[in-house]
Amino acid sequence: MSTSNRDLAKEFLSTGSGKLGTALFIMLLAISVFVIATYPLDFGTRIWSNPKVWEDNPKAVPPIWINAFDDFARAEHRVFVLTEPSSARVLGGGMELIYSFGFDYTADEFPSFLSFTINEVRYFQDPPFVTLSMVRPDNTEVIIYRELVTGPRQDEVLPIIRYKDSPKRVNLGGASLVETNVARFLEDILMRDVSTREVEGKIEEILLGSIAAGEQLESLEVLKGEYLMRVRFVTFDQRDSTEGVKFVLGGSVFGLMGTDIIGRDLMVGLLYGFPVALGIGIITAVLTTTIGTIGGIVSGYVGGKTDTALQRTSDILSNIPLLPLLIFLIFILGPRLWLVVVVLIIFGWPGLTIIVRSMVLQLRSGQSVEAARALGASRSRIMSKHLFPQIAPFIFAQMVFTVPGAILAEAGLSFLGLGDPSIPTWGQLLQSGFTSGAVYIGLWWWVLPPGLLIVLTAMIFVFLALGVEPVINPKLRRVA
Amino acid sequence: MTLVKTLAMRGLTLFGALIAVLVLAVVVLGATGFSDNLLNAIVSEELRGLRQSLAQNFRDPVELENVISLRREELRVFYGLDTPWYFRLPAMVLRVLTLDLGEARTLRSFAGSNRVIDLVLERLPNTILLLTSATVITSIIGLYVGVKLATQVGSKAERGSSYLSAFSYALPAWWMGVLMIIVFAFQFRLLPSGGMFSAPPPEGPLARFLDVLWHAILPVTTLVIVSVGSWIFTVRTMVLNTSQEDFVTVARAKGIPENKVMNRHIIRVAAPPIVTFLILGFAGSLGGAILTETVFAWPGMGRLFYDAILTGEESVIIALTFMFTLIYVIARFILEVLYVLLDPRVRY
Amino acid sequence: MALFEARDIQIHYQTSKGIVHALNGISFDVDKGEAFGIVGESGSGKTSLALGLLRLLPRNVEHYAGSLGLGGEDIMNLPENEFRMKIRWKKISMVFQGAMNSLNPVMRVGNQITEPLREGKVPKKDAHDRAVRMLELVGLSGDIFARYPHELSGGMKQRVVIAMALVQDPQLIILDEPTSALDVSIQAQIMNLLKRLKWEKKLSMIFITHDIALASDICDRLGVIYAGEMVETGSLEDVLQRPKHPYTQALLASTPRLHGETKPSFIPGIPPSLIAMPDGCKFRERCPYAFEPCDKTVPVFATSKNQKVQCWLYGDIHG
Repeated sequence: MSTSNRDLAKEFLSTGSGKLGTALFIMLLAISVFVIATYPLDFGTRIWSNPKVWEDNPKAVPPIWINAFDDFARAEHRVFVLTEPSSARVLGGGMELIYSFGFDYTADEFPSFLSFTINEVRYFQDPPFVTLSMVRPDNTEVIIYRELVTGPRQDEVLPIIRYKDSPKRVNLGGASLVETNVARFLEDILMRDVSTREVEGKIEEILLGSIAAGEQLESLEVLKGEYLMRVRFVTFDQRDSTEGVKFVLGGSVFGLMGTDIIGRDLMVGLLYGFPVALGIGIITAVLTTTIGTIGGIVSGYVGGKTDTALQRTSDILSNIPLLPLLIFLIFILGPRLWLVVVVLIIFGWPGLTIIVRSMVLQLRSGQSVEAARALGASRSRIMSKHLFPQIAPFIFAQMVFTVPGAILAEAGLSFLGLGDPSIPTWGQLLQSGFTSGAVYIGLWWWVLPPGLLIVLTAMIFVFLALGVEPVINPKLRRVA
Repeated sequence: MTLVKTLAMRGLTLFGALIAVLVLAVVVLGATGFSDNLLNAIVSEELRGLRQSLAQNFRDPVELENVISLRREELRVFYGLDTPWYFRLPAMVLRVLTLDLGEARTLRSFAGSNRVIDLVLERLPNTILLLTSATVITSIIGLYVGVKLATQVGSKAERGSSYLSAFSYALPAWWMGVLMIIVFAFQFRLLPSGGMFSAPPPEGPLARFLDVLWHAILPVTTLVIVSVGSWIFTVRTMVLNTSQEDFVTVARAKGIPENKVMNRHIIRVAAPPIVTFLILGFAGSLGGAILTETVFAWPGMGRLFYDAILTGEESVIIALTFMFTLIYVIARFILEVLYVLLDPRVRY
Repeated sequence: MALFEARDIQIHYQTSKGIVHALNGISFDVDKGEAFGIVGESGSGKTSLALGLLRLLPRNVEHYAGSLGLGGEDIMNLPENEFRMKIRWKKISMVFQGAMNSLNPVMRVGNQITEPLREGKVPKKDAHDRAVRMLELVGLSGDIFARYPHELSGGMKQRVVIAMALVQDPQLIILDEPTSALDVSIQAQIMNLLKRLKWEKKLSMIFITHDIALASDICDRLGVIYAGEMVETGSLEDVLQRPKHPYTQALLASTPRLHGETKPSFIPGIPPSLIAMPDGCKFRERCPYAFEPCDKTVPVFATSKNQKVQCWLYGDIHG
């Protein structure tokens, strides 16, 4: 009558939901391992919650692939990082360092922003002078930006280092110096006076727009073609050096999953959610079923006062609505993920204990247990070697079924704003989307994927449990 | 008599659960110092009132301060702030039981009151409205479709029902709500995205009623969608299990027409385990209601919970934790009574 | 003419492993006031036969054929609704295997007895009185009427089930292992009750059991089923005293006896799979007398006026 566990596993894999569930589970596991291997441990605090990291990303833009759905070519996000100068020559007492690069602009719209960043600069005498200029496809040249690196303070030791820990970042669209430069550039083309007021807020349009004499600045067309960028450093000492520059053409689409309102790459956050969700689910499930099973076996087999006490406790604990209490406890004790797991375990084990107990009560009078007792087996031996193996498959199914419950509980809690801020989860992604109004203005890429992943992950485990159940409980097997 | 005893036992367990929640809450509050803050806030609130009313009578500020500090000591003793928190435990439990939790700092009831009890009680009917209508609709659909599927063993729909159930279980109410808003409120602009009334609310009771109904469509549908799948599956399974019992064959042998076999010998017999499932599922739907109200800005206790979390109103959170547990306990007791009425086997 | 005639009943099931040939052409008669016993081991098709007679076969029946006559009327071809209203319980009722599960747990037993009467528009009062009379007939008090099944003992439930089967005065009652789930002492009480009813009410019965000794206690004639075929029929005396078919002989030899020298023996081998059925005699693999013609389809040979056997050993007598 007894089938070995290997047979059960085989039978499990022969069911449709078992196969599907196992394949998807392996996928989840693989992604989680990848994330654990590649992400830093303090990802949440140092990277995810640090707005500096995401500064140069476009804010609240959809993923790149939406370009495939219509003919309109949205501006892709492009980043140019230059660490080595393209040319260097001695100029007077110092050096002239030039970083030049180019891009082919093909989008149907203007970039959402332009940013220019100067990395670490070291100098020994007077501060170097930086110029950013651009040659447009129509062969006009614009000097966009000039910067004299901050001068030395009194008694500062040489070399003087600037922009080391916080690189100098300029949002070109909002810098008054750029406005002045762009206005001057326009004056040359339009042959009239142009005030900075006129170009305010239109820097990107003018720099990448096709402009001819008499053109209205209200509705500029994109000037497609090759743009040549040049960053020129002029130093006053040959020892001076720079760590390079960065130039960003802000896109209106970004990455595979788009960005949120502070420019975070949602793909990065979504990937991080995999190991976290899996961890919450599996840790909670394993501990809950372990405690529940031990409780149930002890309660059913030992009986007496132990039984009464365990059953009363279980009865009461399993009669408490979880979410309100979870909200209360996490609110008072602080939003920490391990605390959520602990609370889920505390209120999760009693249900299992009650079921396991009733199973043990049936089994304890069974032949194998009676025989073991007659042979003088100790109580703990009977419980671990004779009772547990008989209920193990059922326990396993219960464990699998506990996983999605825990994941969903954490997600719900995070959604209410009680997520652990140091560990971003899918629930938190959704919550930030919800509170920033993404739902009401249609930022679907922000709220759909995390929810879908929660549903998908939970479903994988429900499928696994569904696949396990008929294997364990022959009564559920489909009558032919 | 044993019927009463059975019910009394269930009632006692449920009451135990209620007290357990309260004690747990109060211990957590005490041990973390929240209870001190809470009571101190109540004391200073009373003193502020006192100061205002006395300010006219007392010309001398020193005398006023004396009276106030005397009163402060009195109040501190009254609220037990002069003793460690664990001595105040019984009194605190009693305060929560009567929802006497003082006043909210920033949250106000619709009528403008800042007393926690007003805030909570005002929201109660809205939550009940949402919860009961969703539960009733879910039960009706679940019963109807579940029974239907059970009579079509092996059909595509019947086989698919387990997948539907898995999907429904894995679908969080709040995410479903977000989807509904994106599709029906944002994309097609068919239904309001939240709230309970239009602004301004329409005149006349009928118009107002229809307005509420209009606003309830999305939240109620959301709640129904997330719970109806597992309902259908459970009803199907219970009905299917029962229909394989011998007494069903006996009933057919007796020449009873099929519809009566279904009603009298299958559904009626499967009813108690279905009610059990309803009992077990109720806790889940309560949680679902909290999140759904949040998403749809439905002015019930769930949304209040969310607002209280955002504004950090601990007294409101305590009151709501207690209220939700209370609702749960009451609903469960009703279902227990229903179970006992349905199943003669537990009556004796 | 016999009260009930079954001819060439065949029942096949569709399963995931293939088609199961549960019954392969079974024929027998039951006379008025007669108890016909059908004896066979589990899996031989006894219960399928009982369910088939009332058209209560499960959904996966792939083939159900043969002819059934009751009081001269062909009931095999009655439309479903007519069969339900005219035959079930009114003319043929049944006591199912396992009384524990034959009663609806949430319905008062009295209402379960009167249910078919009420369906036939018998007034409530009359139905109630009739149910009470039936309960008294099977040796129970009329107070039982308002009880629920879980309040009754196994023996009481079995009596209720019998009362329920008698409530419409059926012409034929099928008893499928009516005592198998009961204690031996209760079993004897129920058998005595059945014998009394048979005698008092001139009941016609089909008594299905795996226990040939039990069948001999009440039956007038016996039929022995093996692997979905009726291998031998005859009067009680003929079958018990002069068993013809080797299976019947082996079955009797395996039954322990109170008096006598012989020790019970067992039948070697296992019954054949009902899925891949070989032609010819189904017992030949286990039969000590198996010989050449056994792999050819076996006709039924009459060995005496009342005894018929499906075995080639008796072929010459007929031929």
